[in-house]
Parts: sequence; structure tokens; C-alpha cells
Amino acid sequence: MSELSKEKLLEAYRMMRTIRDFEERVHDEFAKGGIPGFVHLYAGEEASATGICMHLTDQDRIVSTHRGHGHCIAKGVDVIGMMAEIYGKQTGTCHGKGGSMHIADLDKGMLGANGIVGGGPPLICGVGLTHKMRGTDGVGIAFFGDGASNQGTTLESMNLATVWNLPCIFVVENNGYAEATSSEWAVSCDNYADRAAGFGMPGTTVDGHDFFAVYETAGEAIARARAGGGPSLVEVKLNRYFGHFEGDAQTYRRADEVKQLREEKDCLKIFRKRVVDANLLEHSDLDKIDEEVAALIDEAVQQAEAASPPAVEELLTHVYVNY
Amino acid sequence: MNPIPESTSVGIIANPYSSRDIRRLVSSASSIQTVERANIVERILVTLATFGIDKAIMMPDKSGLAAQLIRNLESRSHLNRAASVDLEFLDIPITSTVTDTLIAGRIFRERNVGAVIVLGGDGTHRAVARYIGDIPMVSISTGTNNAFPRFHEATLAGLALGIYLKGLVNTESMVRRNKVIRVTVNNNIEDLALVDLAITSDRWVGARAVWKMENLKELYLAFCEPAAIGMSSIGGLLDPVSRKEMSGLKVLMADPVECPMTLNAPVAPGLFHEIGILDSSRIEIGVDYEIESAHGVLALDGEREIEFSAKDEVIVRLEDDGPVTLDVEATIESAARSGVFVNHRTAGRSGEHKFRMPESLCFG
Repeated sequence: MSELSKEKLLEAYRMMRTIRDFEERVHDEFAKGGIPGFVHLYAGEEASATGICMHLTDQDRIVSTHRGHGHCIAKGVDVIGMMAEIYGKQTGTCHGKGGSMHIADLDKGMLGANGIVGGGPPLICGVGLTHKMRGTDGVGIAFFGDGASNQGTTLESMNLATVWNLPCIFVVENNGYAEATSSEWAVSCDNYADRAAGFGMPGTTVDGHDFFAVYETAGEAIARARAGGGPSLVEVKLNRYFGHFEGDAQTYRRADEVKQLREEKDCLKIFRKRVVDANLLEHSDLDKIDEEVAALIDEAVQQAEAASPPAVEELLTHVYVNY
Repeated sequence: MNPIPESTSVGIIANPYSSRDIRRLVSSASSIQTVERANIVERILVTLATFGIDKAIMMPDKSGLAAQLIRNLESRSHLNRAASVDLEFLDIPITSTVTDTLIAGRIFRERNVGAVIVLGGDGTHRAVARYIGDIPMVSISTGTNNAFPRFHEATLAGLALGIYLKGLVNTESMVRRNKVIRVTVNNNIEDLALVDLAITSDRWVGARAVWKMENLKELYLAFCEPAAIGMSSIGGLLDPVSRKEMSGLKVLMADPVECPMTLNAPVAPGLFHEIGILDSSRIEIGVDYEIESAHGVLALDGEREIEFSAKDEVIVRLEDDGPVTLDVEATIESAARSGVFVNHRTAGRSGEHKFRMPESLCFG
């Protein structure tokens, strides 16, 4: 981990803080009725997207899920455009016609959040095949959850990636619940990394509350894929702070579950303590980022609220793309 | 240390998370599936049942191991007698961390079980050893390097355990006291290692496993066998120290180009690494050694656990009062030499015997 310079540590904290503040703010604004449609929030899972995407460049592609805001931010998608997109405004990343579950920015290698559970893994095989045929050292990352881990599309994709030895990493973000169903009830092979062996790829499990653990593990999986080592599976065990969707009463969770997680397992708190205790960063360095991110999110909301929705005559544009 | 246990109940700690760390990505390390871990426990229960041992207490988990075991016991009751053992799962909060193992070990000691069966690697055995006192561990290696637990088929481990718990042979050679490395940080953090304490130049505990050997600076080894995998192999190839010798080994390492000697060591399954050796020396029992690195991470039995800096005082001490383990080979051999397994038949009828394999074991 000695390769994590002070600048990199600051970058990691800024990324995680931006995701957290973005999601907390969307939570608040959605409750006020300012945001149309559904939103699924990533708060609590920041170390996963950050620890993985910090290894990527724009040529590397990711596919995400319905809970995709964190992945977008970690992949470098503009926060101002994202907020406007969630508000359904013309200035949004997808001109306000995608919304929360379909934010995409191909220039940044973000192939899209995806409303279909298990919809991302097949796409990442296409990414892997492209990189392989073009002879680049690019990789593809498919983020999906414990619910999608049971989908045939996911399992078929893992098989295909192995058969073709594609530079793909399958990242199971296991937050313990597929909507309201505990993974303890719904995943036959509760240690998801076990499934990797069935497809002939290595599988490993990592603590998703610890940025450093995720960063190290992702670094090795990605380096392996870049070097032609083929696909691998990383199970990131983590927790979400909000419901499956905004408005979810979460009757399936213990009353104090999230409170306890926020106190004991918060990735931002853990990160701050570690870097300050190690005398690598000062509290003031991190406080400054907190202030800057808060201002950025304020600005994003203000711009989103002020922007116009797409014009009626724009509704059928941007549906198909010619290559 | 009385080789004949007072209790014939058995504790079981089957770590569902061993052999799942980052070394799956950087080496050819294997991964033991949850289903196989449940099968292993089932095979132990089968063997215990043949000895009439009817009580086992097991650490619970949320990773599917206990659930798979219960399914096995229910679906195979027509095949074997494993289900005849009264299997109790400890009623403890499940954290899915090493805390579960620590708590289970402490409870097993309080309940004075006769022995604790451990499924795991070096890190798991280290965690169990912290609180079980003198209760013997019976090792089943399901970890990555497995330098501490010897490889045994579970059926044979259960066989040795049954012999031990039933007192079928009474010999001191059945159980062995192990050495232990104890480490203190500023006289307030205390921890232990059963095989190796490594000091790396990493900043963070991170993904825990040690696999970047270029960061390895110091090693303190309780024992190091030449035919071992992991960091202890470095000492094992350099200056072997047996489990019985009353000394350990200290090795200082650096970039190979800066060192007077190097060796190529199997530091993980399928992973050799050239190690630069600056110096090595024996360490004595009961002597405090101050580490030489100013900052870094302490890795205990292969897992980075404690971050330290220049302001911390880290003291290492090798001691001879470590955990007790059951020697599976020695126990079975002793029983065999005592004729425990042989049924002498006279005139076509069964004669006197000490122990006889029932049909359920033979065909189960």
C-alpha cells in the first residue's frame, strides 16, 4: 500500500465523500418530492466503488446496477450532470431521459446503470471481448448485487468469460439483501466466492468497509486481467444505509441495524482514522474536502432545480446510436 | 497436562472464511468450498458416533456451512450415524468475523469440552489458541498455507480424537505442547502467533494476507520446517527448526541485490519468490526481542493485524507454553500397536476386543 501517495489518499477520500454526500442529498431531496421516479442509494458502500475504480482509466469499462450513482461518480462521471439527470432535466448526463437507473457516460467508460437485475454481466463480456480482440490491456468490471448473483445472465456471463479468457472482473457487492430478501435465505452458496471455482476462475472475499482492503484486492484482480490472466470474481461484503429504494420501510431489518453500521462500520470514518493515526493526512486536510464536496453538491442541486426538462420534441431522440 | 480428558464432549470451530483471501488471485492457492467443509464435519461426526461420543458443540455461522451440515445430517441419516451425535450450535451473536472464533473458543473452555476440532489454516488455529487454554486442538487444514495444522483426512482425525477421548490408550505422546510467539505493543496490545510473526513495510492491514515479499523485513519463527508453504518456508530452507526444538529463528530480509545471500522460497501455494537474506539467528525461549523496523505492519501467522509506527514499542518473545494439539498419527499408531483395533476371533465367534469398527463406519 506504500504506493498510495498523499494525493491518492486525498483522491480516495474525496471520491467516497462525494458519493456519500450525493446520496444523502438525493435522499433528502427525494423525500421533499423534487425527484421523479425511483432512486436506489449507494450510501455505505463507497469503499467498494472507490477502491476498485481508482485502478481504472477511461479505456476500462464498467457496468453498474439500479444502485449505480456511486459507480458513476467513482468512474468520473460529472456530478452536476448526474444530479440534473436524476432530476430529469435537459442538462443531465443523458439529457434527463434516463434518470437514476440509466445514467451512462461512454466517454468515461461508464456503460450505464441498469434497471435489469443481472443485466450488466453479459455486457461486460462484450467489453472484455473487445479489449481482447483489439489487443489492448483494458478491462471490464461488472458490478452486481447478491440478488443478481442468482440470475442466469450472471452465471452464463461468468462461464463465457472463462471460456474466452476475457479480462473481466465480476464484483458482487453483497449488501445482505436482494430488495427485502436476506441473502442468507436466497443464495444457496452463501459464500459467493465459492461459485467462482465452478467456473474455473479465482474468487475472493473482501471487507467492503475497508477502502484499503478493497483497493489491494481490486488491484491484483485488475492487474491479473490486464496481464491476460482472465476473469476473476471479487465478493465485497458491505452494507447499504438506506432501503432498497427510497420509500422502502425496511421492516426486514433490525431497528438499530443501520445506526450500528454507521457507528462501527462506516468506511469514511474508518478511512479517516487510519490515515490520521498513520500521520499521513491531517484532519484539516479531510475537513477541507468535506467543505468542498458539500459546496459541490449544493451547486449540483441548485443547477438541477433551475434547469428545464427535455422538450417534448426531444423525447424520441437519443434512443438509438449509430456506430 | 493430563492426557486423559475429563470430558468427552467435543467443540467444533469450522472457519467458513479460511482460504478465501487475496492469495486466490496472486497464487494458485486453493479454495475449500462450503459444501466440502460441511462434509468434513460430517465425517468427523460419523467417526465420533462410532465411539459412542454423543455430544458436539459447534460455532454457528451465517455463511451456509451450518445449514449445509444440517442438510447433510438430515438427508444422509440412512447412510451413516453422524446424526446420532447431539449437535448443539452455540447461541452467540454471529459477526462473521474472527470474533466468532474467539468467543467460541472461550465458551468451549468454560464448558470444559474434551477437545476442539478446528477447520482452518494458520490464522484460524491462532485465533482458537487464544482462549482455549490447555484443551487439545484437533487440526483439519482448510486454510491456505497450513504450516501449523498437519494434513489429515477428517475421518482419521475423528478416529484419533475418539481414541483420545475414550482413553483407549494412555500415552503422553498423544498430545503435544506447542511453542508460541507472543507480541506486545506498548505493553498494552497482546497477541500471538503459532508459526510466524512477520514485519512488513506496508502501511495498512489492507487485504490482510502477506503476499508482496518485497515488503517483508523481519521474521520471527516458532518453528520452520523445510517442507512447508508460506513465510516459514524461508526459515525452513535456511535453518530448519522443528516443533520440538526449544528455540526459534529470526530472519532479517531486504532487496536481494543488497543481501549476501538469497533463496527461492514457496511463499504461497504455487508461488515462489526470491528472498534476500541479510542475517538470521536463533531466538531463545523467554527472551524479549525488540524489533528492528521503525514502522510497518505486524503479520501474525500470515495475516496483517497491527499497524505500528516509530512511537510504538514492539516486543517479541518466544515461549514454550503454547496450545496443545492432538497428534493424530501418533495416537492412531499407539492404538494400533496396543491392539485396540483388532478383534481376535476364536472358533468363529467374536472374542475380547477393545474397539471394533461398526458396520455403519465400514460402509457409511
